[in-house]
Amino acid sequence: MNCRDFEELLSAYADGEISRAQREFIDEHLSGCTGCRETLAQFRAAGYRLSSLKDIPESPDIRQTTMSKIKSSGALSDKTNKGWLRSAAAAAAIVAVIAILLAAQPWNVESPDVLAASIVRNSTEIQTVLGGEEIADVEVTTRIVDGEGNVLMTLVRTEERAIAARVNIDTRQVTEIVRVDVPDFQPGDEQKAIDVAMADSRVQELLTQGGAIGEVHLGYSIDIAQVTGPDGVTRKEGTVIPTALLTVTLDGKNWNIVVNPHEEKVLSMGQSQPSAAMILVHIHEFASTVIVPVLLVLGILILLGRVYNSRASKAAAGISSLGIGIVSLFIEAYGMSSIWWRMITIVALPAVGLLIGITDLRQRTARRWIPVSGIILCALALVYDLFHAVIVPVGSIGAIIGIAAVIAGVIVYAFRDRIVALRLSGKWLRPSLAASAVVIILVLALIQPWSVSPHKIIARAYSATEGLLSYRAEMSGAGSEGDTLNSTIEFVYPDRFHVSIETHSGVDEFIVIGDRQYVKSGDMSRNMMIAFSQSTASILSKESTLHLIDSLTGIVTLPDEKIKGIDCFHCRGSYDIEKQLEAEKARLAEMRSSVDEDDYKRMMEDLGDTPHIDMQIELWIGKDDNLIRQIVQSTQYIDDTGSLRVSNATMTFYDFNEYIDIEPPLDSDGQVREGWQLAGSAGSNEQVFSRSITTSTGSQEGYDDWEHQEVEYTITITNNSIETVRDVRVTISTKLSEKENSPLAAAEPEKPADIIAPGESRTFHARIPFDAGGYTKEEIIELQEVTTFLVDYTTGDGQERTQLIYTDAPYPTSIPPGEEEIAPYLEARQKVDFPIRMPGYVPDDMYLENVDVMEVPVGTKTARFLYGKKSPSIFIMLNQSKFDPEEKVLRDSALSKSGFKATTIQGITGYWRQGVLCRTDADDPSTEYWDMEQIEVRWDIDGTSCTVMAKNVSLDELLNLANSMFKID
Amino acid sequence: MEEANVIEQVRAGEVDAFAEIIEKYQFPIIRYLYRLTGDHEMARDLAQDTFIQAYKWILKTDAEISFRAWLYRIATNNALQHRRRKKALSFIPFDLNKHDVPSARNHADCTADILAIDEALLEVPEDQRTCLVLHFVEGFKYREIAETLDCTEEAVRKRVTRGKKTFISLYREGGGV
Repeated sequence: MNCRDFEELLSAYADGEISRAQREFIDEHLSGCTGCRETLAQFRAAGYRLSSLKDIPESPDIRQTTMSKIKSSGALSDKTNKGWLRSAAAAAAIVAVIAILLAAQPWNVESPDVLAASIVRNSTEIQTVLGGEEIADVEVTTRIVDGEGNVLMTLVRTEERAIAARVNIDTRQVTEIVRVDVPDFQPGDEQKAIDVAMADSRVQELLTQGGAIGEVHLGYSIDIAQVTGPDGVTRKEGTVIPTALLTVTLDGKNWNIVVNPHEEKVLSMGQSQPSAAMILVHIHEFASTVIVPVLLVLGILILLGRVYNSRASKAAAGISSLGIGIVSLFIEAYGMSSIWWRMITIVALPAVGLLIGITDLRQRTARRWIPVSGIILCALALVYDLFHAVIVPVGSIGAIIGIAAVIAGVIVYAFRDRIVALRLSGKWLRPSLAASAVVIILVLALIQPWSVSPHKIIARAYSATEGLLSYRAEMSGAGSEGDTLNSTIEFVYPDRFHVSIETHSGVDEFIVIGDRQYVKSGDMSRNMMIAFSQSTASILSKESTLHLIDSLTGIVTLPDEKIKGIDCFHCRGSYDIEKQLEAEKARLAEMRSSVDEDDYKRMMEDLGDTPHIDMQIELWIGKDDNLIRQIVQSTQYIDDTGSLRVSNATMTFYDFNEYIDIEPPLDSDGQVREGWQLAGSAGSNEQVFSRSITTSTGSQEGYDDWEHQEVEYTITITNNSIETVRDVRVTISTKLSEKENSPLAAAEPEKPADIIAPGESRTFHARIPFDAGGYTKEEIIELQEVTTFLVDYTTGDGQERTQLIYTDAPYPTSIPPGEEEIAPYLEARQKVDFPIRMPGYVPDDMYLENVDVMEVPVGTKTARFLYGKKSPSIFIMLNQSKFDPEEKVLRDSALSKSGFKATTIQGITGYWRQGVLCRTDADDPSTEYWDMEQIEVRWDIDGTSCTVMAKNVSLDELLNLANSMFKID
Repeated sequence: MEEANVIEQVRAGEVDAFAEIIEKYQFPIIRYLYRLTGDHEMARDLAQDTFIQAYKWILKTDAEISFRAWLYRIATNNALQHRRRKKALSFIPFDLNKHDVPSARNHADCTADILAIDEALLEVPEDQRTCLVLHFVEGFKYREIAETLDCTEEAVRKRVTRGKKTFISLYREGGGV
């Protein structure tokens, strides 16, 4: 140690502020060091001089003036006054918190299982059924979200027996109770389940790829079905199916396999993919539903404790303000719910944290960095809150900075004394800044707000959409026919829709409120409107949007874009149709016992026959609020006639959570307003009638031509409900004829057709004559598709209702022309048989087997869709499976020789040739083009000649066309 | 009466008991504030503010540090704030704020040496001066200074040492011996 280092010690020595040991050490040094003795003398002298200032200056006594100031200032507060004020404040705070929590009930969102169990345990119906036996166990077996809301199936067991109960979480009611027998699991069922699963080829595939079977969970699934016994009485019967859930893990993904170990079959198989982002969503959900309310209550208790000077609350204050700050920041930074009442709790938390921090800091003398860090974090969380709650609609950086500045200003003002004193007592400032920085860095590292991983965007969009209570949307779609449909939709959670559809003659509207549907139709038939409203409402409902978001795969991000002036993330993914089909099949399998066996088989077959649909979804998600601003859905598939169908729909969403008024179109007397119709319960999931429909087609009696065809429908409806329905009336609407809502005749004159008792059936007929001339096969099929039946009826309690029934009968088979003969309905067109085995034309080695190879009509949907009228082209789709490899080579070379180029258009491989269908020079701007829908080309069986047909074209023109088509340049 | 008892009385609602506190501390606090501001009148005004704040503080808190330390802390903060305000005002071009540091020179009873000490001390940087005044004038131990200023004893020792050295050189410049 040199003498300079000694200075401080010497100074303290002079002031008598050192320990005995230090003193001895210094004395020893001083005895040998003149320099230090000198310094010490100077320090001592300075001390003496400064001490000479001890004289009290002359000053008037300030006691009187100060006391009168104290007495007149607000500082004087009466103890007794304060007592009731405190109590009032405490009571108000407690009431406020209880009110907030009761209003928000954030805990309810989290655990439907627990809620269901408590509903079951408190249900008087269940008590009655159990005859007072004590409930031993309530197990949730199935969770369903359907039109009724959140429904859980529970298995309720006592010592003696078991019942199955359906619980509606939304209405908090037990909707169905059925006694059931619960099969016991046998020892070894787990192993059996594994054996059954291992026998399944799909599971084997997973295992050969390196998958591993994890744990096996045994549980139950319950079916409730209506069964008509031999005595004719219908009753509900519940079946409890033992299930084992196996998890196979492959490449970090879990496959859930559900097995019935007793019947030894695999019930379903599906993939669950917990992405990191979804886990965050769940953590966030847990935090905002459980942790926030708990912390809020604790926070208020601590605040109250401070008011009453409780020691415990004083000790907990600093740490709890810090903890609240961390939790708030996490919740805020991760994403906000847009439900206002959930937001109240989330905003209240940092506000309480801030208050605790402030009160703690004012009274604390040690470790101040703790409350200061808490204050910083809570303030940040509040800024974030306000930014979300207030600024999102504006979205301007300036406003954010403004709010931040206001909050900072308030804090600085509140702590002005302390901030002024910072220089004197900065020892807690650095730790608190450091602690805040550490927390912020940790939160940032966890949330990574700067990274825009598509999964995170999607996960955020999911949680933002979940909170939506209302919105408007515009939808415009281009169908495979090139037709466009524009509609506007208003939606109010949970079940109100108002849809307006633009038509040629005006606007069609419908309003859906719960199970009531009101229709105002111009162009469309009532049936069509109801069908359309159902599908539109289901496409645009919140649930289906959530479902869509949830099922996207292969998500990629695209460059950001603005939608209606709002900055949006932009991403694209595909909708996994196969997965949906599997889910649909599983759902159908669950319903098996409640539907007709034939219907069941047919529906299963239909699902199996569903063509492969390629559905691409593009999403634009608002950067500020994570709400979906736009969805573009492009679908393409090859239909059963082999043609490519493409459709696009664009849905633009806006007016989120605005007040939107959707009321039934009723006048002051409660009557439906003019122009509107009540379509009854068509939207309800409850199907009172089951039905079977048969169809037959043929020529009308006395005729044998295509102009006089008729189709006969026979529909049998069965009353599945438990009450007699009256005023039954069945009508049909079909575009085959211009008839709409024409009533069907009863087939059994001996029975009253308009009153149907439970379990009874009635049969009705309709004969629809139509003119098949001038229609193509596809057109007739489409007309068939839009045929619908309406069953109007009155329920036992006098409510008028309607059930919509689609015809799902097979298409009339006698109408489409046989392949070997030219369709009679094309004879109205000009026809030219064009020999293609001519010099300079498509060579005779060109392999064209039959009409299946060249798609007819020419100018297929694809060609027209892609190039429109301006650039006509032929696109030949290749039906690969029809060729063996050798033939394929032959065909390909023939096509390329005749000027067709191999290409892939929208995922379909084929050949195309441009400009072959123009009458004159393609470069000439005055060129007229053929309306391609009216031209049809048919190849001869031997491929050496073809028939070209067209409507409204002269024979010369047609010949010209054929020449231009097949001539090789 | 014991200071603690007086505080208890004030807390129990007896406003007049606070007069005892003022009586006990008013002159040391005025002296202290004068040493920090160099302005007698200002020192008195700030002392009044300090006592009013201290009264509010007694009502609000149960003490964790000694009342004296807390009182001096409030006084220190008040002096600091005053200085800041003055600094801000000095930017205003009008002569509103003409040197209001009437030094000790105005007082006839001051000896020349005291004057020199006084002037030199007023030049010492604030944080050092606070420590010097608290120790040598108000008789605080280093530990008490640390409590008052909410810092460590180590910091107090540093500031006192540096303060003394600054004072010595300023005093010599001002013609002291």
